[in-house]
Amino acid sequence: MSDPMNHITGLQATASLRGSGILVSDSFVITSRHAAGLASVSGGSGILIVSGVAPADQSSHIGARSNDAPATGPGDDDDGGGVPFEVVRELTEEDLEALRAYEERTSPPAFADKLGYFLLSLEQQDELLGDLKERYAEVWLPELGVFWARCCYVWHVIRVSAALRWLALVGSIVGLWKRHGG
Amino acid sequence: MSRLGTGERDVLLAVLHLRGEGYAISVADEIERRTGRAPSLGSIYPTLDRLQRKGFISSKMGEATPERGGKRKRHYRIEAPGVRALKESRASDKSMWAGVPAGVRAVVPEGAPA
Repeated sequence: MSDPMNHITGLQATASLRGSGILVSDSFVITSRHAAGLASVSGGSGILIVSGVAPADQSSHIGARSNDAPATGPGDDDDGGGVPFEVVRELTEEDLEALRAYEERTSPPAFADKLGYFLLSLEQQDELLGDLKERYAEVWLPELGVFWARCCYVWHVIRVSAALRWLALVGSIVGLWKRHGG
Repeated sequence: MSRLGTGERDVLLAVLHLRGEGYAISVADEIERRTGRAPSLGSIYPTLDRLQRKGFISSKMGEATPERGGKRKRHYRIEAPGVRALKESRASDKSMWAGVPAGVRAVVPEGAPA
């Protein structure tokens, strides 16, 4: 059994490590030892930097999606959960710069979001674009790479918007038909 | 009570299984996990929308998270009319299968896609 203090969980980490970039996220559940600060964690070909505040009593073994992220920490991974890690150093300005560059390089195309704002109703924008961004980061980007992940994102924005528009159109026609004695 | 199509039934059951925590992506994943078929997102949203209009499910917006680009998540939960619709759908399935010879049932197991 490994030291639970040497694990992070919550793991979009797997996808992000595979993307070999640098990730700062406050969505990870981190152990109380690091609760108030920043921890830099080596992992795979990139650096995983975790920031944020974990609930004080949070267990470190929650909800790992996969165990295939490379382990560099002293702990093993036999407790059914997180990615072992080792605190390497504090977060630096260079890390943040690299992070910004990485995010710019790999983020979903902004024009697709703008398209979504035009095509989707206000109440659907948050839900749909958020869902697609989540799928982009967790599935398409790690599995397809930046180019195809972006294509996939644009395609789904258009496709889902068209499907919802079509539904609204049919609904309006049926409503009119009913109102006028159909 | 309007009848459920197969896609609507699958989505409704997935929402039921997810116990109020389901959102479009997790509903699609749940259907894939249980049936082996991956429904397209393009079909999930309109179906959720339709089920909501019918009063079978309700939804509430959750918190915005960084991995969603600051966008909020919409959680769906099943409502009483949805549960009734599922019961009726199940009863209707049963009555359609009643009287089918046992030999045919063995070849076409319950729940198998056509």
